Amino acid sequence: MKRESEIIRVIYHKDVTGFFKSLGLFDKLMSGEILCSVCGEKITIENFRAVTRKSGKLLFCCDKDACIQEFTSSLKVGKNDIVSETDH
Amino acid sequence: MISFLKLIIELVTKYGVWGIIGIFVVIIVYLLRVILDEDKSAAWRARFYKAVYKISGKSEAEKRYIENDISSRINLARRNMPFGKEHLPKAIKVQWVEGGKGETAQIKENELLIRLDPAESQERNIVLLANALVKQTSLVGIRYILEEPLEISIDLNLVKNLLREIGDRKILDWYLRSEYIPTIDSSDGIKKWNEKIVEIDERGLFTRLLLVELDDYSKRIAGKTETKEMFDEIAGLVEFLYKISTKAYGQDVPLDYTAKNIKIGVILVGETSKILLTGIEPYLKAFAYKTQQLTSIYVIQWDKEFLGTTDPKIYEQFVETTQKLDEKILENFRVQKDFELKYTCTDASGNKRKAKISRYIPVSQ
Repeated sequence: MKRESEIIRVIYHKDVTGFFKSLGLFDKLMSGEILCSVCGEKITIENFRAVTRKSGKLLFCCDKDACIQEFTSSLKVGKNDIVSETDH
Repeated sequence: MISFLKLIIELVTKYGVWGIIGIFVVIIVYLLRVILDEDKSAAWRARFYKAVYKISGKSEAEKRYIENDISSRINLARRNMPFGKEHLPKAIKVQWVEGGKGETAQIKENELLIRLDPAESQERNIVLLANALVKQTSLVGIRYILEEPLEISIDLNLVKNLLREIGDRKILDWYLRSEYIPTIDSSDGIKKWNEKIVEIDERGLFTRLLLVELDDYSKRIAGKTETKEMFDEIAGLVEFLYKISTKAYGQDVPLDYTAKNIKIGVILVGETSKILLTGIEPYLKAFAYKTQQLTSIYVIQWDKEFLGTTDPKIYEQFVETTQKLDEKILENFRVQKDFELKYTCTDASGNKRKAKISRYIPVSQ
């Protein structure tokens, strides 16, 4: 019997550059325009940890433990307290 | 390993060809069980790709190792987590984003994409995905009701239980040090709720009762608008279970919890001498009352672990009496037995106890 699984998509640490290029946001990443939506720190290839989409906008998170905790918690329906977003 | 080889040599020298055939059959059966079990076969694939990665250093091998190792460890661990008749959280499937053009269109609303660390930091990868899995597949339908400190406390302990079941001390230590303790220390509200959840968990009632009831609750309130009353009902259930979990010997605590959307009752068989002296009649009387009022009834049995060794006869009598209680409940009342789970836990005084929890649902409801 096929069981129900939650698919979680992940990004390989060596593919971060390619991932941002595929989003068309590589230049913004390099110029420091993409910020962590929790703490406001500049996202870089090294500290990028997660991304999601809220109300059509992409939100990014840095690799600080506290940030990723808050970032994943904020994904629940009816809660939107993250601060910075990227139109795309 | 050496004792296993000794056993093989012994079998071959003693039984000759039949010994070899026997060993062959055992190996075939073991391999079949591994192949048919997707989590166990993922564990073997992880070992294989880890070796390939160590030798070759190739990215493809590293990715296959990370993916199979995470899936097998988390999925095997969740199978050991008791949650009524089901398992919680859901099984995980790791999928790599290949980074092709148009990737942005594929990121769905509320979907979480996580960048994983290199294979050398696999502990962190496992914690990251265990966290994401718990947040995305547990407390479904009630997260919007919960106040953050209680929600975080439930998540923290669910992730802790999941990582503990993985059985790797390094992973659990990393989680406790980097996330669990700092999060608890960050807020008095989280600290307060976490203390209660930990006590409930230590008596074995977190996954076997609280989460089972919350899952039912989410079905009962599906489609309804969030109200303060809903959060109060859930908070009241946690308080109710906390009182039972911290109950001192001989202390009276409420054993029914009745709110608008939650109506549960508990029958505690905690004092071995009491049930042996009075018999099962008082327990059946209590059960009869509860079937008229409540939507689910739990019989929780905590016995003294050492009783079996110090007085096997009394222990046997205790086991027989509690079995009779279960038989009489099913015989005398219109209830459906939802599940029965055996486990070990520590009581409020720190003594190790063998325990059993059974859930009954009155059918007239």
